[in-house]
Amino acid sequence: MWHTKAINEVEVNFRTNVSSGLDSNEVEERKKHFGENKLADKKKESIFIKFIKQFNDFMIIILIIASIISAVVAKMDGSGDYIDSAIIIAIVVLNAIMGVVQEAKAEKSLEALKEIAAPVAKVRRDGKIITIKAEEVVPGDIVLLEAGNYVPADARLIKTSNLKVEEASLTGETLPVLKDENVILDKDVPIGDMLNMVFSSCIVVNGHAEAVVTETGMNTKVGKIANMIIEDKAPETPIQKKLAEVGKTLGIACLVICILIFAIGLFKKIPPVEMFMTSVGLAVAAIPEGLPAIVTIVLSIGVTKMAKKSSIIRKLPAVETLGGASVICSDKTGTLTQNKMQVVQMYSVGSKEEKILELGTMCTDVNIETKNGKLTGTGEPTEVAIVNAALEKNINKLELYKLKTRVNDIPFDSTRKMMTTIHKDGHEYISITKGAPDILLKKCTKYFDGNTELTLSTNIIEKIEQNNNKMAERALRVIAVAYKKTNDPANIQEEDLVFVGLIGMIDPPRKGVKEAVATCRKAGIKTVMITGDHITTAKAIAKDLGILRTYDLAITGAELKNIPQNILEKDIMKYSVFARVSPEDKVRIVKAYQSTGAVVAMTGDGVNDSPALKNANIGIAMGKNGTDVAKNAADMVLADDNFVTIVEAVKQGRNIYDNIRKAIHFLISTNIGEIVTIFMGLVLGLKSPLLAIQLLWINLVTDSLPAIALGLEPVDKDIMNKKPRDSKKSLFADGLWSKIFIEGTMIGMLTLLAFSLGNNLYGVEVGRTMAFVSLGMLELVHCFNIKSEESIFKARNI
Amino acid sequence: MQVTVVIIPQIAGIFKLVPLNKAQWIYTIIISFIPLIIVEIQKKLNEIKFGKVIYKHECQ
Repeated sequence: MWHTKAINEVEVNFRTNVSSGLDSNEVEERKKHFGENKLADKKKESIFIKFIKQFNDFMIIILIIASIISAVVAKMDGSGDYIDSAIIIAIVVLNAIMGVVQEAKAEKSLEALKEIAAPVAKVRRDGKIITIKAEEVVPGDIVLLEAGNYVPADARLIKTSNLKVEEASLTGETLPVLKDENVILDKDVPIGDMLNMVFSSCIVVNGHAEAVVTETGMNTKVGKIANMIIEDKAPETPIQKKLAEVGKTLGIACLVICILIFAIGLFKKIPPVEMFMTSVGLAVAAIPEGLPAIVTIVLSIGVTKMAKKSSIIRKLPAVETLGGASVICSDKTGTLTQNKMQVVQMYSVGSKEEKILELGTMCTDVNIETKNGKLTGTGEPTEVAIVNAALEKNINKLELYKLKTRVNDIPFDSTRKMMTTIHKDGHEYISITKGAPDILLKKCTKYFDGNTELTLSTNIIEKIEQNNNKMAERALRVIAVAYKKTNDPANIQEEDLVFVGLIGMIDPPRKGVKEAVATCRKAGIKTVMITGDHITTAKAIAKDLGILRTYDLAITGAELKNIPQNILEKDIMKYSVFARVSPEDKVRIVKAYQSTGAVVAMTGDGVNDSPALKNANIGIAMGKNGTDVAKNAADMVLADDNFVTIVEAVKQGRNIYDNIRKAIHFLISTNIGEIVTIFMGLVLGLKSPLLAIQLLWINLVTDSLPAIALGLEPVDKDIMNKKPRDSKKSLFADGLWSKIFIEGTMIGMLTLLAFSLGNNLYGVEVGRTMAFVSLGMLELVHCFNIKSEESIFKARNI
Repeated sequence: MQVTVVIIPQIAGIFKLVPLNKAQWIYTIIISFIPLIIVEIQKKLNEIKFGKVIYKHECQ
């Protein structure tokens, strides 16, 4: 109904002020009254329900039945020996407790991640613009929206500028709607026609706006559509799906073996109850029912670790894909570089650097502020670079302005490519001009040699031009500085200037990026620079970072448009730098790399980057400068926008994958060891080497902990010396199955050896004890063997 | 955990285990450490033959 009201009516109704927003006290009151601005979560399961659910497992049910049968038999034969059934129940309960603890740990990790990745909103409160969590927005808040934002709540627009909103999530209409705050609408207009309103979870695709929040949380339009409630459950990763399949196959195989063992036992006249218990114990021992749980724990703890290192995984399957990344397409500005211009070179014909900076800093519109106890400039990046370079030499623009007051200026414009400021210097005036060297030099007739002004000869001009070209070849942005003394501050001509010097600046690479690119190369990962910047600048930075090497090529977006997709796919691996590219080009680039079988990670920040992020195998959004839309489309968000973090995430991704493989290797091989022990014992006509309760203890209690430990192993020092794994390869590739069978058989045969030795020399009870201890120790030794590819005596992790 | 079950008589009794003497412990330990020797030799042979490989990732 707010769409039927005028802006002032809405303002009065919500007791808010469009220019200053709500005050803090009012916000607190409204938070208490309206609650958090979020859709109701699915009801969380209590610990008790989680505990009960642990028993909803085929094997556990069999165990409980076995324990009941054991108790009934004890009662019927009058022995009163209920120990077996009591132990089975105790072990099952212990297993359930461990399951609940592990599940809670995994859940906590994922909750913490959700918290980090929570959306934010910009609001005006107490007269200030602040960024808060979207869930803290209350009715009456003035929200500020811009392209790329998600609308945090339903709101009545009060100010718009070309605001277009995509409302497909509510109306199904994918074309963005142009909004208008001034219309007053009828009561019954459909949502799609409510031009003066914006709705929670819709996307701002263009323009900016301000709006008064009218509804939050479950009262919003989206909140009322029950089906739209976001599903909390994380999707299964490929490993989890694969393991579910493997688990099923192994389970069936194990059941067949158990039935076979039971039949052999009966044939050998072993009492049926004893044989039944052994078979049940073996079935539980052999089926790796703990595998999916361990994989979930390893993945969830792994992503929490990654979040602490600034890479926030939004979609769990991305962890596995990350480990297989073979091409990383990265933005230049802000990711490979610092997104901060810095003066790196200066040139003059005799003038001191201080003189160039003094004049340069005066001819700027930069404000100087104190940040972290240090003076720093804010404003246009090129000017900020000059002011900061001057500040480093203790030349403060504000101090200079006290001595030489700025009285007039001619602002920069793209036709003149210059700007001029005029200052009162004692009784006379000085005009300072800075701008593009090729233009400014033509306006100069003299140069300053440090002491006096001399005529600018052709020889000197050539010298200046040569140095300008050298700087340009290094991809520096070059600014020339000149001055002129004058008596008429109101009528300034940018002519007959005195040349002082050139200032060369660049957006330098971020610390550690060069090393990270080298690490990627060693790891078989191709780093590709994608930028909207000029090709010269892109090439210079790419060369400096080691991305563009002798045989690599650089290409512009315009050139790319002339290459058909099939040719691009054929030649794509030759290119390492893409300059002047549009977001649409990014999609072509991703697809071309993927056509070679590469697993592509792609960074992006804008609304238009979403298709490329979705198309890439791993879409990476920028946490600091990225829009909400890009973050939502991405698999991973970089909290610090840094390329080094991407490489670190790949390293962690590889580690998590390797660790999961190790845990699987351990669990299945030890299970096979247990089957071999019992099966071969029976085949060889020995007494049962392990009793059912002994097997249960080993399988349900002692197996899980080493498997979790393997799953949480730190990063191996050689992890980035290997090539990326082939994404098409199975989890069990590179002979893992044969290794599992050979090692499992070895564990089983050695346990049997321990039993035989004990049984023959000291009797069956000692034999079983020796088999029990051996099996436990063999598993521990096996865990150490799997831990590293290198000898355990020299294995070091980093 | 496994060893604890054996050496604490009350728990050992529940699991139908008996205390082991010195010789029995020595046999058990020797048997348990055989895989360590075998796998160490295998790792060394792999290192000589291929460099460092067990979990080998193939280049694309």
